[in-house]
Amino acid sequence: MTVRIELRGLRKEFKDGTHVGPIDLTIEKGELVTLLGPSGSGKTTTLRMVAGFIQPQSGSLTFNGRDMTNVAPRERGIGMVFQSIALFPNMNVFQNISFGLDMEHWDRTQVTERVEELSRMLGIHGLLYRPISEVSGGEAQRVALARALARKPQVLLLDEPLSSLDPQLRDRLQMEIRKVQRSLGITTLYVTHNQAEAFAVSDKVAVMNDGVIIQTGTPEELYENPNSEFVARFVGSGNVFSGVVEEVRSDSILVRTDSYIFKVSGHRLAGSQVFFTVRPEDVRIELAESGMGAAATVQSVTPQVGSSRVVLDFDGNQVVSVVTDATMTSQLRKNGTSRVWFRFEPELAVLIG
Amino acid sequence: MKSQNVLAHLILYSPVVLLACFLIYPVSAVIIRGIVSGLGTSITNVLSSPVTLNAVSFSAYQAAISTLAAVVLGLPGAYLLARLRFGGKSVVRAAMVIPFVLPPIVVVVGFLQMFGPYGFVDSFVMAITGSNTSVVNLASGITGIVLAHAFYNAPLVILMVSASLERLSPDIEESAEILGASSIQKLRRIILPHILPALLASAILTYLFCFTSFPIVLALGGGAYSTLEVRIWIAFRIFDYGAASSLALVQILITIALAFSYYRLGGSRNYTIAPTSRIKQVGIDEIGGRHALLAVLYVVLLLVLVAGPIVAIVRAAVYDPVTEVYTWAGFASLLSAGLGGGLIPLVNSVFYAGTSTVLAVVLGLPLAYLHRRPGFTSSTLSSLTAFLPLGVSAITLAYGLMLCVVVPLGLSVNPWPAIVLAQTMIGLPFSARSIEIALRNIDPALLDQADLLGASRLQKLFFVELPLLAPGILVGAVFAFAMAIGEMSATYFIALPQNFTLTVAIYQDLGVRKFVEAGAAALVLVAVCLIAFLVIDKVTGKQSGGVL
Ligand SMILES: Nc1ncnc2c1ncn2[C@@H]1O[C@H](COP(=O)(O)OP(=O)(O)O)[C@@H](O)[C@H]1O
Ligand SMILES: [Mg+2]
Repeated sequence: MTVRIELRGLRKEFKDGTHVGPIDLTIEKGELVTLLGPSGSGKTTTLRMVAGFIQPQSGSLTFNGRDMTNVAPRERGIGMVFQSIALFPNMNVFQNISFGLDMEHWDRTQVTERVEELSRMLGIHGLLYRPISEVSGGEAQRVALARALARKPQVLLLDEPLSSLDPQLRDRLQMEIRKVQRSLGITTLYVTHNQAEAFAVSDKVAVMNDGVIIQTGTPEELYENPNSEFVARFVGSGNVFSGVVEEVRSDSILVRTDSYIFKVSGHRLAGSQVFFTVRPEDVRIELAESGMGAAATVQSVTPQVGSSRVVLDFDGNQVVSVVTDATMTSQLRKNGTSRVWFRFEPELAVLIG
Repeated sequence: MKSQNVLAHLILYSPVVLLACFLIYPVSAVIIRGIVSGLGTSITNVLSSPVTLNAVSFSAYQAAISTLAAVVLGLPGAYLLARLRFGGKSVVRAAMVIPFVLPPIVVVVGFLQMFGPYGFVDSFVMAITGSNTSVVNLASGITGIVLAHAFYNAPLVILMVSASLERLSPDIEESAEILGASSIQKLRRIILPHILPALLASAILTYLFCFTSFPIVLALGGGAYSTLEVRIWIAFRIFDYGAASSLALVQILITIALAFSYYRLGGSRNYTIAPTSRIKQVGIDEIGGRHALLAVLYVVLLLVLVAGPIVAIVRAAVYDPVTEVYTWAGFASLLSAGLGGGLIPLVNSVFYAGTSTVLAVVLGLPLAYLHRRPGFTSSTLSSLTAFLPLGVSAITLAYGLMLCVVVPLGLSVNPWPAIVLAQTMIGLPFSARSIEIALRNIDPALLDQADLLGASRLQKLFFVELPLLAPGILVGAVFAFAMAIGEMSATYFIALPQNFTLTVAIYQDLGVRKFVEAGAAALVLVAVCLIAFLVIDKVTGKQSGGVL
């Protein structure tokens, strides 16, 4: 049986006055939803309200329509992986995984079967009898996941499960988590501050800032249509421009920034303050002035797979561009911090909000 | 360069050498001489004597009950201290050190006044039952001994176990919770295994203290009960050196075994899990009615047992139970310089303890450095040296010093240097440990910085390290002073009447029923200990438990 989770106006105020919420979020059956936001934005608090470790002051939390407010954490049918992993140091790997089963008084052969099954699924079969002090970071993460899944929970909660791992291991494990989650069809709430990680694992991402969800959507929706400057900066490339509408045309507007006037598709009232964003792959760099681009200086050129990431300084703001042309890349690298011009097609710029 | 190195080694190892001269040599000399000289009872007779067996089994038995009492009393306190959020917590934590620095004989005075006949508790019960004679006496016999030991050691258990509990990550507990563990299951499978090393370590330490307990058993046991240490005392007093030496040997072997197991546990104790900053805590206002009631009852019990005797000393200083009047006679006697007056013991106490504190710090510094040196031998040698005095019978040490220092040097007329030496040995473990802790907390990068700035080793020591160590040295000195001024057994053994200290005077006064005189002297020592506590609290903030 899978669970549909609904958070409605969930709100927690701490003694010192800081508060998180109100949070509105729906996690459909079998879906993986990620809370993405900077440190201190309220992700853990939200997750812990779902787990039942924090009692919200107001709002409701339901699993398949059933109110969970007065249900103890251990009766919510939840598996959880903590940011600190929190394996039991006085037990070995097997005992950690089987802990939840022991609490339910499973019989010995069933326990062994279940632990074997999980450890094979997560590739930790070889270390079942190791003490916790002797497993590596990545292995510990798998053990924690196995332990959380042992009782066949209906809901899985993961709080920055990969934040302590190095990037390569993180990439591998996030794919594995995704695979396991899909194959079990378990409703999952995942917390991270890492945009790439969020996009890699999620069906849906809820971007949090200052205790509230700013925007919820699929990774594509967020990337292509951020609803605010914050989401654009946090989720997108960081190419966010702000300015004042100088002139309104039939299908586009002219936006004046400190040193340049950009043409952007869409409609806004003249004189209003607007934000727009352009994806790095849509920013074109030119080495000579053509009268069509804004002037900027090159800050850095970083090679990536099949392209280069070029960071420009435009009026003290960063503008990122992805350059696929190899001769252009080598030219930029050779010139060092030189003056260049950049532009984009008006229809590829996205007005925010 | 080379001669500087030799000098450095000389300084570093000097405490070890001095301890060899003034602790190991005298004690071994006493034991060996006693056993081979054939004076008094032979070792085989001692070992097979039922009196020895009785003393050993009584020592073991009362220590076991005392340890159990301390643990049972301490565990809830450890839990509350770790889990309850309340103001003044660091003060409470620091105050736990007070019982530990109180001299045993002072505790005896407090216990008699609090739990003895016509004491506070007795008066209370007499008032309830309408009786006009004493009804309860909890300050004598095995009850008194166990209660007094619990007074000393329950705070120790509280400090050590709560420190361990604070290192248990809340995530671990919540993991267990979400995996379906009930409170009981969580306690049994997660919390107990976590605190076990600290619990065992505190229990062993408690057992060690109780096993070798002397003034409390002597004074509260009323002669009917004797631990090994009391038997050693008696044997020396009747000049049965064979018996005394054999018993001392037995005691040393037992305490070394206990100290060794404590030392071994020390290694596993620092398997820390969470930073102390994230402790699972609840506010006082968040606990439910029934739990709150239990907590209050417990705190009251602890206050009666631990704070009660200390407060009772105030009454003991001014109320004479023999004449049933309130009087300042005790204090008057304290200032009288004549025979049986308190002034000479007071001056002696301050002088001996002061001198031995200076020595304990001077020796403690190189000992602490030796401990920090890389390599197994120096650090082991240092811990061993620092812990040895804790395991050796004070009476045996006192006799050894008489034999190997006082007699050869012709100090028999005024053996005060031997008293200072004995008190130094007793204070040294504490000064060395607290300096060592301070040394551990110095950021090595800071010293490297000094190196880069071109400071010579001596400059580095005087201008960078010593100022940083100053708080640790001060705490160490205060501890050593408190231990020294509270020392009774060795001092009593060595001292001639002109060398009596306050603790010895209290014991003598109690013996001749000069209760207010004993009370007034005890109050002075309490004041000294309270000042010591305030200094420690001021200097260390909340880390004072570490010195134990
Ligand atoms: N127990 C608490 N008491 C007071 N403030 C808290 C507590 N827990 C979290 N906060 C505050 O709530 C905000 C959200 O914290 P958290 O949910 O941990 O953020 P995140 O997981 O996104 O980093 C932060 O400002 C944090 O300081
Ligand atoms: Mg968090």
